[in-house]
Amino acid sequence: MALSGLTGNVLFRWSSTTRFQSTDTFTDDVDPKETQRLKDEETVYETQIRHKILDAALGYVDISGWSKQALAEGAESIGYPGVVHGLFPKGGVELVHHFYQQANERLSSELPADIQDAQLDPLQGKDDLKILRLAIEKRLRMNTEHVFTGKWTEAMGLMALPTNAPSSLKLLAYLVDDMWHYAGDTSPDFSWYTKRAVLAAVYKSTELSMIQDKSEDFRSTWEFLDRRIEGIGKLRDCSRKCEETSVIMKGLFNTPKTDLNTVVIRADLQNVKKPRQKQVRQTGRLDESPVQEIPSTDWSKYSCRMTFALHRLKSGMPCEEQRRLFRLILRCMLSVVKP
Amino acid sequence: MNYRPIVIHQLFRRFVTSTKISPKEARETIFRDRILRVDHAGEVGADRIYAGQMAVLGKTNVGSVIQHMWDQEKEHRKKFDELLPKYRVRPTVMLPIWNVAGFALGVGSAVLGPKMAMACTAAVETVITDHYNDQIRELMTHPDGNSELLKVLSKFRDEEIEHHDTAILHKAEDAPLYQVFSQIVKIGCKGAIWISERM
Repeated sequence: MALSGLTGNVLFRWSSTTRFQSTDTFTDDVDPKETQRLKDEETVYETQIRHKILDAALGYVDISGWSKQALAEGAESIGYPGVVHGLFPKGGVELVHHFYQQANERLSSELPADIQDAQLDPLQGKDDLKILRLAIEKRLRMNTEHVFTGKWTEAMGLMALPTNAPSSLKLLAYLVDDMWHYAGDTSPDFSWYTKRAVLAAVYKSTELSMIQDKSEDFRSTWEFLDRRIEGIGKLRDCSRKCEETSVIMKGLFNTPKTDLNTVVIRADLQNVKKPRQKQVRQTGRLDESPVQEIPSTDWSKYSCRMTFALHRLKSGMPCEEQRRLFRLILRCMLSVVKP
Repeated sequence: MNYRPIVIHQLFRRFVTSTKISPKEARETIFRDRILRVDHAGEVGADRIYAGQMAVLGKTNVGSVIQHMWDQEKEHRKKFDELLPKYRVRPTVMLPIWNVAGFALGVGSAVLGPKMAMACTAAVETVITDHYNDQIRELMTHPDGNSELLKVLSKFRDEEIEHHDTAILHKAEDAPLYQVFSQIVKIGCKGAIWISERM
């Protein structure tokens, strides 16, 4: 009984004191904005110190590799104790990420001037592949000193470790985002992602080719890069063709329905098999250059012409004109199907 | 909808290794990114809903009303298409899905009759208006540097209210099961907003 009374008493006192303590902390006048500001200041201060140490440690990478060793040596060289490498719980990879980030920032600050020097215009849309090539080469050249000493292979390995991969991928993502931004990309749809994914693949594969490259001034790497950029161009042509086809298909289904429709189509089907000279004579200015003379491999020209004809097609236009357009469309379609 | 300040958990991850941008700036940038991303997604969705409704009801007597609202939504979408690259914001990953879902919602509601279509419009526009209001309130806490965005948002908010009123005027509330239907649509929209902000 006495024991229970005692424990009860103790418990009561304990809880009351804790309650007092907790009210104490809450009655303090703590302005959330002020706390936030103090926290921010602390973050900035700590980041600055970290940056100083990391900058100093970059000088020791050639000797000690991307390691805690290098971090400790760097810290000692600017007057901090060596144990301060405890600020970097992930170890050497933080050094790699710091290097990467710095190179990214340098790229994004210097790239606009370089684009101007090369007389490329990001707003034109035609030059974007050239700009991307320029940007990738510039960025990869920032790694050269570590590639020469063979340390970059080590760095890539560190970045690819599963625990480090998320932040490495993030850095890569921001890098390719910067590149596309300066190449004048303004896509607000899903192609935003596909573009960046393609560029990231190109960048990464070129980086892999660079660390194996023994040629003078990495000539074979840049050739490799050229081929990949060409590949992007081809990919884009392909997707453009798909889009054109979809426009054509849409147009075919939306063609105006007149009562002459069936007649026209039947007449045209007969017409297609007739000799070409006659068609040229019959049709007027729209297809002055006969369709068959265009090289059959390049069918985007056909589809362009077809889209053009489809856009010209209106429900109220004279019958002759309509027939002419239909004939053109059909011929284009046939030459697409069997060149 | 209650006023609830948006808490951003993944603060300045992007900028954590950079000294060029202060934590406060980073927070505001990320906040603005979120606003633009979710609004862009919303306008794309709205555009698709009206496209779906027009596909069914285009030739009926409410066709011109829907067409007018659709034109305004297209304007909104165009504006956000410009703003995204300007502020360097990525569009949401779910865009293809919203594209299809919006069209499906538009067609689905329009098939049930013009009143149901209007009820759907009213529900969607209520959520969007509330959401714009929340954003404007948040932006007002640090209005410097956001004046353009504030202007755009309040203009669009007014037009969305107008759409809501138009829908009510066209007997949205007479639709069968109006309360249930609008609650379902509202919950769906809020879910979409929640996802678009984060992805």
